[in-house]
Amino acid sequence: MVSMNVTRLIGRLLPQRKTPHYLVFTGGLIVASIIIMSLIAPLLTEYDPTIPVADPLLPPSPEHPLGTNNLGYDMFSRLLYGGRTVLYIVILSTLMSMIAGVSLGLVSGYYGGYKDRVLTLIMDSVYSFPDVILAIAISIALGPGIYNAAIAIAVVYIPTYFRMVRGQALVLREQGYVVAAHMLGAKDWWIMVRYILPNLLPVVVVVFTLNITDAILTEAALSFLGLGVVPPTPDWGYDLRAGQTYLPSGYWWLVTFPGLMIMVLVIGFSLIGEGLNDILNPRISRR
Amino acid sequence: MASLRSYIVTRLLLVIPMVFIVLTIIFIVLRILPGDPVITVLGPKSTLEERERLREQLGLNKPIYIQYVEYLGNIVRGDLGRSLIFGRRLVIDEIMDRFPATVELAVTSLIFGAGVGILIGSLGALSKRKSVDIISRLYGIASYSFFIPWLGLMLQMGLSIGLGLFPVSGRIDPLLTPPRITGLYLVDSLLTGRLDSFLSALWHIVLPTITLGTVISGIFAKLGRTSFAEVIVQDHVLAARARGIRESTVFRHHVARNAIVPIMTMMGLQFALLLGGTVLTEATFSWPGMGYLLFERILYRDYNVIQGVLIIFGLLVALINLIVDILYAYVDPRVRF
Repeated sequence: MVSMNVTRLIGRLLPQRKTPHYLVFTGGLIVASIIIMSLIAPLLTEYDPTIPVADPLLPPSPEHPLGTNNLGYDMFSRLLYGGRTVLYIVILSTLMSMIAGVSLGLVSGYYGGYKDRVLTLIMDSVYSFPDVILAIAISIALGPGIYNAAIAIAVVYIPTYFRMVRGQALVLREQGYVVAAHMLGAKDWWIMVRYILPNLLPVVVVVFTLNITDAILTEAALSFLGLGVVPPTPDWGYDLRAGQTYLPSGYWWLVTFPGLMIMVLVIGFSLIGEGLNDILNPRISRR
Repeated sequence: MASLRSYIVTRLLLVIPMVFIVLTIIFIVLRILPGDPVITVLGPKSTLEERERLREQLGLNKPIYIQYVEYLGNIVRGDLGRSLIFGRRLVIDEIMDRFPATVELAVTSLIFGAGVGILIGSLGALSKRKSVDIISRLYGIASYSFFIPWLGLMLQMGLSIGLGLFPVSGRIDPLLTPPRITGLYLVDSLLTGRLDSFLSALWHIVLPTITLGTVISGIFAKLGRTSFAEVIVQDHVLAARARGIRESTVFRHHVARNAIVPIMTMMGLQFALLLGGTVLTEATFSWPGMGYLLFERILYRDYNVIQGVLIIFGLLVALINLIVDILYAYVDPRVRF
C-alpha cells in the first residue's frame, strides 16, 4: 500500500510539459540553491558571521560583497550562515507541527464522537487566531532562542495539518477497504497507520510545502520583533531589524539583502507548493 | 427571514465557547507554559524579594485556578490591569488610545488589497491571453511572499528617503492632530473641516497601506482568479451572451456578482492575516497602533499591556468572524441551513 502510493506519487511528479511541473521545477531549483549555499557557506566566505572582521558600515566591495554592518560583521557571511538558522528553525518547527497535527487529526477524524468535536473546536479557535500574534505570545512566554522560536512556530501551525487530515480521515474511514479491514479484525491503530495514513500522503506533502512558506515568514517576524534568535546568531529577520535604524542614514545594504533572501526562499517554496497542489490535489485550498 | 434570525442566534451562541477558548489559550500561553513571567519582566538578575513583590502585585502568587477565575472575571468587567511602566496607566486606556490607528490602517489596507487583488485576479481569469493569466498568477504568489517589514523598508528607502515623496514614519504631523472624535484621523479631520490635517494624515498612511495592502492583495488575486474562472464558463453566462446582452452588462450582472460571493466568504480568514500584518507594518513605520504598542512593550516587558493587547486581538478576531458569517448568511441563503 505504502510503496504503491509512493510510486504513484513519484509517477505523477515526473517532468512533463505542463505549467505545474515548471512551477515545481523552478521552485525546487530556488530552494535547492539556497540550501546548498547555506550548507557550503564556509567554502564561499572566509569570514565568521559572529565576530567583527572589518570597519563598521563599509559599503559593498570586492572584499565584502554585501558590505559590513554597524559592528563590523561581514554581511555576505551573515547572509549565508543566516540561511542555516532560518532553514533549521523552519524545518524543525514544520516537522513538529506536522507530526502533532497529523496524528491528532487522524485519531480525531477516525474515532469521531465528542472528543473529536472538542478537539476540533479548540483547533478552530487556534486556527482563527492570527498566526504571527499567537507566535509572538508563545515566544514572549518561552523567551528568545532557536528552539523556543521553533516551538512557538510549531504550535501555531498544528491546526493547519489537523484540519486537513481530520477531513480526509472522516472520508477514508468509510471506504470499503477500511470497513473490510475492520471486519477482518484489524486493530484500530493498524488500520490508521496501514490503510489511512498512506492515502493522506499527497495531502500532507502539499500542506507541508505551502505551510513552510508561512513558517518562514513567521520566523522572520519573530526575529524582526526581537523574539527569535539571540544575537549575534546570524538570522535574516534579525539583520533586517538591526539594519532598520541605519536606513535613514543611507546604509541601504544592511536591509536590502536579508529581506530579499526571505522573499526568494518563500517564493521558492510557494512555487513548489502551488505546482504540487495542481498535480496532486486539484481542489485542495490553502490558508 | 425567520431562518436568518435563528441562524444568527445559533452563531451568537457559538461565539461564547470560541471566545472562552481563545481567552483560555492566552492564559495558558502566558501563565502555564514554562517560563516565569516575573523573570521575563524583571530579568534574570533580579533579587528574590523583587520577584516576590511583583508576583504579588500581578496576582501570580495564588493557585493557578484562582488566577484563572480572576483573569476571566477581570476581562468580563473590562479591567485589564495597569501598565507596569509609563505612569502605571490603565491598560484599557492605553489600548483605546491606539485602537483607532490600527483600525484606520487595517481598513485602508483591506480596501487597497482587495481592490488591486481582485482586479489582477479577474484580469488573469478573463483575459484571452495566456501571458496575462501567468503574470496574474505569479503576482499572487510573489506578493504573498513579501516579508512585510522588508517591503516597508524598501518603499521607505525609494519613496521617502530617496525621492522625498512620503514621510518615513508616524501617523500625522503632530502639529496638525485633529481633535479626537472617532480617533480616526482621516475621519476626524474631515468632520472638523481641517483639510491640512486630512492631507497630512493621508500622506502618512500611503506607504503603510501599500505595504500591508500588497501582501493582502496576493490572496485576493488568487481567490479572484479562481472565482472568476469558475463563473465565466457557466451556462448562464453563455446564455446571457447568446441573448445578445452587451459584454459590459454580462460582466457586471452575470459574472462579477456571482464571483464576488466566494471571495467574501474567504474575507473572514483574511482578517486574521490582516491583523497579524498590522503588527509588523506598525513596527516598521512606527505607526502608533495596537501592534506598535505590543512591539514597544515587548522591549519594556510590560506584562499587563502585552496580555491586554493579546486579549483585544483575540476578541477582535471572534467578533469579525461573527460579522462575516452573519453577512454571508444574509447574502447567501444556503448557508443558513
